[in-house]
Amino acid sequence: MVEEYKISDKEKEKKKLKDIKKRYIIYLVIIIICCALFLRHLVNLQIVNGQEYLDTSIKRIITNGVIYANRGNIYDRNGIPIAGNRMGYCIEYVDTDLSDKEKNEMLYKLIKLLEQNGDTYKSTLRTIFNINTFSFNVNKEGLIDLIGLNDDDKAYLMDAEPKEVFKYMREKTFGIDSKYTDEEAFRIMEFRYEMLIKPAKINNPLLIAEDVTIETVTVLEERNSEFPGFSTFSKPFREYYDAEAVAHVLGYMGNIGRYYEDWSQKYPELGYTPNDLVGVSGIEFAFEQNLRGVNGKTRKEVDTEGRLASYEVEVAPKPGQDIYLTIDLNLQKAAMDSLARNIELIREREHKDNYHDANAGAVVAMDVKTGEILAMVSYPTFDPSVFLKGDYEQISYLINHPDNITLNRATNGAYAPASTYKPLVAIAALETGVIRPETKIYTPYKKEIGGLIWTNPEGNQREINLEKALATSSNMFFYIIGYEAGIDNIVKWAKNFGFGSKTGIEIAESIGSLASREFKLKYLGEGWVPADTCNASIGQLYNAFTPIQLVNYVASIGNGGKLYTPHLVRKRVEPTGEVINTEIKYRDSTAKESTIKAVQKGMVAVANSQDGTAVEIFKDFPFDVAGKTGTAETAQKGIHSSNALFVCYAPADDPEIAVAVVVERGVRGAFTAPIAKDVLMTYFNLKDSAN
Amino acid sequence: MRRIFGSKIFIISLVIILVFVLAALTAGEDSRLGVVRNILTVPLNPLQKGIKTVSDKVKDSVNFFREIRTAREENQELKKKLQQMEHELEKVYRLKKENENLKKLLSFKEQFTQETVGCNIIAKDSGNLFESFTIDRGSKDGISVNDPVINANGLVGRVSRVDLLSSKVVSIIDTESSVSARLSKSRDLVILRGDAQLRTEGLCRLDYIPPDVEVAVGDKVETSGMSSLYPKGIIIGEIIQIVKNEGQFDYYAIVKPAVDFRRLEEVVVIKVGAEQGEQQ
Repeated sequence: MVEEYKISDKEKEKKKLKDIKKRYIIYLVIIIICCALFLRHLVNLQIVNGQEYLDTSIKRIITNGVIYANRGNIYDRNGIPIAGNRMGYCIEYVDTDLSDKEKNEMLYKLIKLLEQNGDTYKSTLRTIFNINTFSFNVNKEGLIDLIGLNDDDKAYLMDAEPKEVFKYMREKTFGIDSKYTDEEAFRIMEFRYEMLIKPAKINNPLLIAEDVTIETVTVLEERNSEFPGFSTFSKPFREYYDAEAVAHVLGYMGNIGRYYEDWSQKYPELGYTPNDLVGVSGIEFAFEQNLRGVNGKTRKEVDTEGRLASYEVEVAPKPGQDIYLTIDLNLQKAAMDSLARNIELIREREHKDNYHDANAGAVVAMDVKTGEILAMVSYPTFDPSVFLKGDYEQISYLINHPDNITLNRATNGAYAPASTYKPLVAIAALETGVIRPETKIYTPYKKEIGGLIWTNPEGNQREINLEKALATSSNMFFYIIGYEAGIDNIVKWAKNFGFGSKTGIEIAESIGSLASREFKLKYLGEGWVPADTCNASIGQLYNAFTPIQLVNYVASIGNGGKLYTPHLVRKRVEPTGEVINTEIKYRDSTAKESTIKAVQKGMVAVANSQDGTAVEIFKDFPFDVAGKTGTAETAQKGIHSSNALFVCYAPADDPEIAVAVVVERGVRGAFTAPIAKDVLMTYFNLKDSAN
Repeated sequence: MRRIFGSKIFIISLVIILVFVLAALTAGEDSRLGVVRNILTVPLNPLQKGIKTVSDKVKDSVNFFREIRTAREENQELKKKLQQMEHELEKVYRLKKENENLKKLLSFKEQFTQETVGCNIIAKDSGNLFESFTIDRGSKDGISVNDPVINANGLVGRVSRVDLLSSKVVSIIDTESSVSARLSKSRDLVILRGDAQLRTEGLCRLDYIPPDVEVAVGDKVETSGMSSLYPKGIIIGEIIQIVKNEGQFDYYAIVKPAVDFRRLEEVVVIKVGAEQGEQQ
């Protein structure tokens, strides 16, 4: 038994061992198979399809990007920069497959980030829906069409209260968590709504915000994994340097879609998009196509979240032309300072006709030998940078201001010339042969002309010639000679000296109006009466000229009768360095030399003869100044002060510069002469010995 | 034939055979042979002497062979020892370097108020460079997503994913990476990005250089510290090329990182996230 048992035990042991061995083999085989499978898979992953998988894991898309062309710089005549560019950052978005909840959370984070850094963003929703009052600013149809998930909902929403629409939008359309306040939810909705209007595709990302701070960019870039779909890019932004004095010449820029309602008819052809800024006034407007340049194109590789992996330039951008103005910024600033200061002084000044309401004006200084505008200021002025920032509250304040702040009074303000028109009437009289330069005319206090009794504010001046009449600004003298010459001759010569038509300056300008038979008939439907000629002869009635017309006219008297085309741009420079100089153009007024000489003599007397209306002002000058004052009664006589004008050129014997000054409600023409004096002193680099 | 007869082997073989024969002959105590032995012994005595000399010689040569063998063994042993010593030396050198690195790191680390943790790289993604890789520390060690990663030379990258015992690091040459940087000289802020093309050479792109900022080859770039992510003043690298595209307003530069992304062993994670977590 024992033996037997032993045997069987041994056998059992053997069997067991065999079993173990068997199992071991099975396990081994399994392990080997597993390993083989793994290996096969690994080989498959790493070697056979390795590159393909690698490519998929970092899936990239080739698309085109924009390289924004640099807008041309604007300089003064001496190369002092007025407008240029600085680099700014923008945020764009590409839709990813995040859930509503994730998207909203990310947007909330973005809102906080933008808020923290004081950055603004585009919001169409805000223009449609007012979150403070829970009401619609505009027709809600467009909004409902976008947010309604189906036709039934849309029908329901059309009749729903704004609050219900908001609730629907919040919960149904955008699935915004109830943890957010209405205000927070609204801000998330602002972004979501933009994404609804324009789906953010990888090859056409949605612009979220422009000109954001580097702080915001830093967070978005470094923490890009927390903001999938968002990316940043840089672009040049317009920048003005100390441009307040030159604001009206420079003009301003605005959002193309906002300023040009019909922009889509014209601008897309030229390559604009609705977010683009475009020149709206001044040089920025007039030379938009020169300044703008042509955007370039990149070929870029982006990942599925819109992040830039690499790029290369496909088409290089072509920067815009640089513009050199004829403006001397130094003179411009002196003119602006003086205008602002003197308007203040005039307002405070004691005078029987002063209603202390002077508040606006313009100064233009022109090179009499070229037509180059050396200074052109309009007051009140503004900072054109406000328009670049896109703060519509500030912009609308400027645009809608009762003082017409953004109006360039130098080119678009039309003022009755008053006595500054007298040299023109003298030219007409001389050219018509009514008088000769030395003709003396009896100039009484009272006289009946054209059926009306006229009085002379200068009293009975007895026998005076043209020189004396201009110096003293004798109304009676000009009633007489104007009437003799006749309105048609006055108008003819007025036209010859540029009145009643545009001067041809590059920026927008008003034609003004010229008192004439045609004008009266056209606008009043009435015929001309003889007394009208008397009124027109002292620069009243329908005569309204712009300061640029006035300066052009006085410059032509100074230079012997040539009417240069006033211009603000001296030269343009292509990015290649090629210079395009502005051609100097003029036409002849056809006035005889003797005529011009006689008028010149009278204008010199204004500032230099004993009884000249502006004799005190230029007495310390090393040369003579030829000028003419003007005080224009406005329709609001008795409520407001008269408009005040002064025109001049200097030096009288060899003129270089002509100046026209207008101060609205400036009381007396002579009050504005100190402004011209400041301009001349700066131009000729004179020291004020009086101070 | 002479060569055979004259060769040592022949002599030795002959002697050995002879000795064997003689040994066989003298083996038994056979009286019959005593005479023979005597007969043989006496005359053979001088021969015996000669044989002794020969056998001594043989013994010598055998010993010589034996000594050669031991020498060889000894040689091998010494060689092994030398190798070991060299290995040790190398280890010492490596430790020394490591020590230096660690010292550098330590002083580097001292700049940071945050806690840091040294890590080893345990895996890396395919490719020749350490664009993204895995380190041997994870959330257990207090590492959080976005924690900056440095080594003794400068900025390596940031933590992109954290597991319990390991973490994934995205290096600054990866296209996923963007770092707010500062030009050491002009102090201007720029953005350092990984570039799909440049990363194969271990380089980065430095974007957003404003047109009025002059940079030169050799200019250093460091972290700006503008965001909460990377501490201020960590060396990133230096500019090796400036790229101004025609007509483009701003421009970019190519940066060679201070960290060599071809060789990376230890890195240090600055536990920024942990600290922020505590603060919250």
